[in-house]
Amino acid sequence: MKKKLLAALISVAMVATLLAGCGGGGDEAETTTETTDTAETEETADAAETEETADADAAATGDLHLEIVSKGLQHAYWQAVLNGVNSKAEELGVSVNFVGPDSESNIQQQVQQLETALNANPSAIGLAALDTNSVMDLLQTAVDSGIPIVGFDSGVPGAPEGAIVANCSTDNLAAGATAADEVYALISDRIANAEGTVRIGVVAQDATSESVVNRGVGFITEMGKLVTEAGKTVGMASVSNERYVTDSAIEVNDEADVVIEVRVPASVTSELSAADASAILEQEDTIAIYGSNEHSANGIITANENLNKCGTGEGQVVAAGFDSGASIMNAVRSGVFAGAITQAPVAMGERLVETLVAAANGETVEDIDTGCQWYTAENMDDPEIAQNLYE
Amino acid sequence: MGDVILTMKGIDKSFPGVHALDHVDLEVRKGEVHALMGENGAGKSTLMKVLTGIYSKDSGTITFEGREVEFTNPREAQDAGIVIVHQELNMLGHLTVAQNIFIGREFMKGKFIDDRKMNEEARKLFDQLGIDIDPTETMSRLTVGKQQMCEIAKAISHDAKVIIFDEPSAALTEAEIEELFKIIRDLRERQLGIVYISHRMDEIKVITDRVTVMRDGGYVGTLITKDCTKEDIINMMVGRVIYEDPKTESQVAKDAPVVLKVEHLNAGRMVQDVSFELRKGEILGFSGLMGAGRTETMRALFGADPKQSGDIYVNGEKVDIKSPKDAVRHGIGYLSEDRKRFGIIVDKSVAENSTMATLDEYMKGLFIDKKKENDVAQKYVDILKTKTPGVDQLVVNLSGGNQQKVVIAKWLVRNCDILIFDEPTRGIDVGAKSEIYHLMNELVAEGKSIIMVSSEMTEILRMSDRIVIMCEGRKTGELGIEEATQERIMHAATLRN
Amino acid sequence: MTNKKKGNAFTNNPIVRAIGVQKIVVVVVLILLLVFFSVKSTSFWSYASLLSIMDYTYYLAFLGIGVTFCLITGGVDLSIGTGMFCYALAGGFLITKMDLPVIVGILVTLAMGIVVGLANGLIVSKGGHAPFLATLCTMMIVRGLGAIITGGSSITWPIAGTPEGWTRNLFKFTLPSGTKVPLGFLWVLLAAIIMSLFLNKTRPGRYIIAIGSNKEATRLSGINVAKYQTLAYLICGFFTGLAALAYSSAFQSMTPGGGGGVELNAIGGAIIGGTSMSGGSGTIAGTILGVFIMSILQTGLPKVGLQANYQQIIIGVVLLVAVYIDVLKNKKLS
Repeated sequence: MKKKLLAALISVAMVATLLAGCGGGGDEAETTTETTDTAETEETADAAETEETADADAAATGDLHLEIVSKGLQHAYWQAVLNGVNSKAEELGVSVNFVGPDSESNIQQQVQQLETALNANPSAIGLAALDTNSVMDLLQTAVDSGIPIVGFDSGVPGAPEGAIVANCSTDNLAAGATAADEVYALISDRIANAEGTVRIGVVAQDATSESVVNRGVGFITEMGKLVTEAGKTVGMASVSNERYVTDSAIEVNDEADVVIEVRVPASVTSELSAADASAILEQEDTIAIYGSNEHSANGIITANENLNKCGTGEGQVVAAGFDSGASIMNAVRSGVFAGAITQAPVAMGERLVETLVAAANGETVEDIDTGCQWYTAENMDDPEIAQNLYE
Repeated sequence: MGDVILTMKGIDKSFPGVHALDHVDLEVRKGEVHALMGENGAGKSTLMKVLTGIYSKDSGTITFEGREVEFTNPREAQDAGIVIVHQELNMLGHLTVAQNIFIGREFMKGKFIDDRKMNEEARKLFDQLGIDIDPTETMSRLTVGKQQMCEIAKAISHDAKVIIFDEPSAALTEAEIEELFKIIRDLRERQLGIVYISHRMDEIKVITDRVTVMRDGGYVGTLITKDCTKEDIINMMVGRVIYEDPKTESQVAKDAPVVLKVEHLNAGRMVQDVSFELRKGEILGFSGLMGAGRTETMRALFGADPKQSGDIYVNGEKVDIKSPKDAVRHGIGYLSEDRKRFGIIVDKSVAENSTMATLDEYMKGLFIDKKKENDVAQKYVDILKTKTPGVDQLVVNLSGGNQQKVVIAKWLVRNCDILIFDEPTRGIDVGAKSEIYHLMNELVAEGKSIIMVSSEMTEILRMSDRIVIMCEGRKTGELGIEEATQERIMHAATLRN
Repeated sequence: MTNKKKGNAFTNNPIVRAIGVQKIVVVVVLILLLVFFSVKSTSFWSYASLLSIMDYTYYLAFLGIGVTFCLITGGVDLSIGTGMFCYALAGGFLITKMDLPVIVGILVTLAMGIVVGLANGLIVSKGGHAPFLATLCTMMIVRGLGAIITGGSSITWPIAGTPEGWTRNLFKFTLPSGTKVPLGFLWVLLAAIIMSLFLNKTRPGRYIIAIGSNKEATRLSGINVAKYQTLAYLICGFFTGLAALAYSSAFQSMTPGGGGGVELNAIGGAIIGGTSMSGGSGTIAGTILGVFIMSILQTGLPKVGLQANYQQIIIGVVLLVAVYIDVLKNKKLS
């Protein structure tokens, strides 16, 4: 029996080693990033110190040390935020330590990172919390020790009053509205000339993430406004998800001139999003479709592979996405998508450092929309936009 | 009868605390059917397990075809030519007959199994034996009798020289038994040695040539079947000296009221038209051999298994028992023969087990009143003299006898007047046994009534006021303790209808 | 009573018995579903729908074939859903983030499946752990692993049209005319035929069935039970790897931590197809049919205007019915 146990243990160990071997690449990459980061920030700090005597003004900020705890580190999105943070930190001459957990489900690790950050007694902390409840105690500690916290990206939703001095994040409602503006520009003629009902589909995600819901609601509300302004009636399709109907304040009406159909798959996976996207695209009166995050947009791409309906040509369905990633960028470049919205992580990083420095210096700070961009096949290679795109 | 093919001499085997085989001899000749008989627990199965390598022997010799052998697993015995035909067990229900027969040694055609060849070979085998079975039929669709034929065919195909039949007729119909005997006679013609284990006295007389009798793990003797009577065999089987004092007369008053009356109870094959009465203050023994249907009767009575028909009266009133819950409501408690499976929850405490059947009474709002529970558990620990460090002790840490006391406590807490003790002392050491006996006597003295199912003859004779004997699902006898003897009980227990 | 007799006449028909009652019922249900969806949704009866049904069929079929082997031994593998995601994430990570050749990614994907399958098999057969618990644990492990390997980001395998995107063409081939051919069905069919032969015509297959039918009797027949039990899980792992390739070819992206629940669709497909939860019986053909039911439901339900959460309920009820039928069958057997 002992032998058997041993055999089982060894086999498990073997698997673990092998799998760890596969993951090794990732781990190494992480370490290198971190060391360079630290090295860079240290250099920056050193540079700031040497400049101290020469420039008295810089001395005021040179002592500042900022801690930033993000939701991740390796993903290109967070790397883009980090780029913005580093360039702004260098410009302002402050030292920054930027950390994040291995995955967005590793709440425990993030809590520890925040604790370490607090112990470093920084001038201010930037935080994108995975789970507000888990960091509640630490938020209190920060308030007690007078360390201001600035939320970024999705921020710290549901944090107690006063714990977060400001948020630097994409205004998702505004971003959704931007998508609606751009899509509407492409379909306004068709709406105006339509004889019967036309349909605009939205593939969205469920209510667990406020920011993703807002991207959908922003789109729907703005689209409703634009259609109404053009003198047409707008209604929600009856199969639509109740949450979106309520939040957008558009009545259910399958007979309106423009019907908006919102579909929400049961879980966040490509294959489920694809099924819902297919159901929308297959309807004859569909003229536009919008996927409110990477998965939803990917679902539309998968569905279109079989249906071949999306494009900007005559009679084709105008499609738009949100976020970047290899598939969506390819879809935009090849014309399957008319365009997509990207957040501006570089700008977010820059605004974050500015806000943190201001907060550390005791200035009053307020929430900042770090903005978004509509990218198309034409403009996606502009450096200003390309820096926010990643595969 | 031909030459000796198999000799087991002075086989000795002990398990911790039990001397299972005490220098047992057995001799099988070519072309003979040799019966192996004995009461439950006499050691027949253990002996066969030693022979086929499932158990290793402590001492003694096994000689097979003139060579001394010692098998370490059934496969080796099989390869040498000694095969057991079990009652049912060894069938792969989802595979076909031919696939079953050749499992582990399939005919191959390249990389693929040659099912056609296997079907042909199986068919040849059946023709040889005069059996009418389609080799392509799925095993689970066959009757038990046919399945057994397949087992025999499988044994033959292994080139068996000695075949052991372990109670082969237990699950067969009359016609199937006839067919089985035909095959066995055919095998005898072919000079195979056959060991036939059975409780059925009349079968022994019909089919076997010699009988070896075992008792309490020891060898009693070997007889030529045709030269002996049924009574001779029974006497050899039960001829032990009873050391404990048997009860000589019933302790129950002649006019004691009937507390439980069962009429024409039917529940499947194992319970057929069983009727009996239980009086207040009585210990009613249920005797019989393995598979007589005693436990099944009790389970049907208790509502644990469904019954087809039959009436049950408690204190003269007809009751409808559909589930154990109903039985408990009418004051019937059941101490299962398999304590660990049905009686107690081993990883719960003495207190939790004690109140298991009555938890409703120990609730304080939504929660269990721990103190009240402990108090009552302690009370019964004291009454029953259960040896436990405390009522918080997990039952798994108690000895078998004390575990049994916890089960008894459970039903006493429930205030049951009718208690069914199914093999109450199985797996319990001698000291604890007499304590349980003492306890049972006290319980009936207090006016409770007990049904005791037991396979131990001495226990039946020592405890019972009256004895019901069953055989193959039917009641085959009822004896007052005054008239009961081992021989009379065994006679009834082997009575087939 | 008359009803029962009728049933017997039907079930005793030699043609019916050769195909299997359950499979005939499944085909009938399949046709009914197709008719229902075609009537309820104008867009269902189309070539695009077929392509979309196929997208779901590929990975579910591979998972289903694999897990059928575990189910037949009387076990189960719950790690296949999250496992599929994990292996696809790892393989895709190597290709797109580490810039390794596509073939390396494919091999690693398959190897991971085999290794985890082997581990499951050893834990169950040698360690003697209940398959349900053992594979539940590996399910947690591979879920975490997928996230660690990719650093928490979602992964997209090389997209169609790029030189590295040839894996996608293996499953959905685009003709010069632009028509897409569901080539993957060929591979599913091929795998089904090979594994069906393996299960019914070779010794290991026979012993895997025997183990599920009566493990003790199989052991007493002198068969190395642990070896064949392990083999069943290893096969399951390998097919999970194949499913990972199919999934990453059919769909755009995988998110770490995903794939939970997919195993139930595959296991459900197998059970609908007549594989017994208690082991001993099951066919690959049945599993493929059962998987079709699942993928048709997944494609069809959104088209008839049902919201996602209601779809889940319907699929759950379908699985419950399948399990109930399995329980009834077993009761009849005993």
